[in-house]
Amino acid sequence: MSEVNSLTDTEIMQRIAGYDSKALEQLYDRYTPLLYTLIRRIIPDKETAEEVLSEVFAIIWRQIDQFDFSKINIYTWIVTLARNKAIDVKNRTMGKITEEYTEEYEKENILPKLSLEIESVELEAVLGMKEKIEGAIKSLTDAQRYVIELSYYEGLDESGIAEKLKIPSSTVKSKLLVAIGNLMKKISKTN
Amino acid sequence: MEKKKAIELIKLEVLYCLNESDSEALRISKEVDADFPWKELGEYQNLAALLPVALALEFPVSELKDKVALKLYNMRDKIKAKLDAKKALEKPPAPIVEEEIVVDEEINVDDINVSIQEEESDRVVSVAEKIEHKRMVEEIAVKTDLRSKVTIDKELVEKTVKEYLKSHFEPELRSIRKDIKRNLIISLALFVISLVLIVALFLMG
Repeated sequence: MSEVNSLTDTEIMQRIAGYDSKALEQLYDRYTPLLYTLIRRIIPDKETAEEVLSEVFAIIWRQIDQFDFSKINIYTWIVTLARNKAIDVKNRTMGKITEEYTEEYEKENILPKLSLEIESVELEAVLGMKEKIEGAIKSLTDAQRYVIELSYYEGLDESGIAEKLKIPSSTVKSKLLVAIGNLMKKISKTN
Repeated sequence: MEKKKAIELIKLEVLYCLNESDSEALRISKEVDADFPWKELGEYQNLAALLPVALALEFPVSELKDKVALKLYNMRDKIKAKLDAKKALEKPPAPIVEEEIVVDEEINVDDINVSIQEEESDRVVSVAEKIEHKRMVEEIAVKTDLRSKVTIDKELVEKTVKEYLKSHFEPELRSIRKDIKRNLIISLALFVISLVLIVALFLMG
């Protein structure tokens, strides 16, 4: 176990690609707190959140051949995967998605499609930035924070947020654009 | 699509807030625009993935790890099929080489199956242990299978050798057998003659 302990996220994923169960166990130990927190934020029900978390690791295990090692951004891939899966489960529970969940559906809608040009990010480095990220989010106005939360964690689209906040879609769009723009500036600045 | 417009849509996409028409426009832009801002897309994807870090961390119950292990264990057949398919794609068909497989000790596959079921009823300790265990069992089962195959092959070889000897050496064997019989008769006759001569010499003496 100590051997995989010292591996980077990328090396772990490479081992998982060879169906190394110890590497997957290590990935579970590393990522579970963050992924579980994210999933619980989207799905408050504890049991469902646990089920989604286990399903995320099952997806990694069975779809590892779909992971593009040329991009080597494990962190963003896994977090996005967990977010996509949790939102999908939430929407299915609410009857917003009725399409059958197939392997094709999973590839198309759950597996992240990362950019052709993306910088590598590792969990350890991200956790080291926790305070800076918190600070950047706190620097947003309440309204900006709220629209981001509604889109990212609640899975509401532009019209859904507009309906909920009883504001025009164009306003939602502009608030989101300003919010994410500000976040990018703050985090880039601190880096 | 203009770069500015593309970046605007990228920002909304990473927050999962694109409407259908904008989503389609961005998809097409990714496919056809040679100067699509991939770098910016990557930066905003990374940024969106940082958002959960600001949440207060929660931890699931420790038993969840066992549940995940069991879930992955139950996927073994699917994974095995994937691995086989992958191996088949990677390796060119190797020439068939006959080799003797030595199995150190007798293995009862039924006993192994029973032990798996007992194991399953127990609490699963970890992903690694569970899957490693199954891998070992499968290896043993394959060895056992090969051992019985080798036994069958030995019988086949013996039969083939017998048939080959019969067809190729039978005439020679028959003639050798005849020679032996003839030599035996001559030896017997000579023995009798010698005996008679000895008796005759004794009586004369």
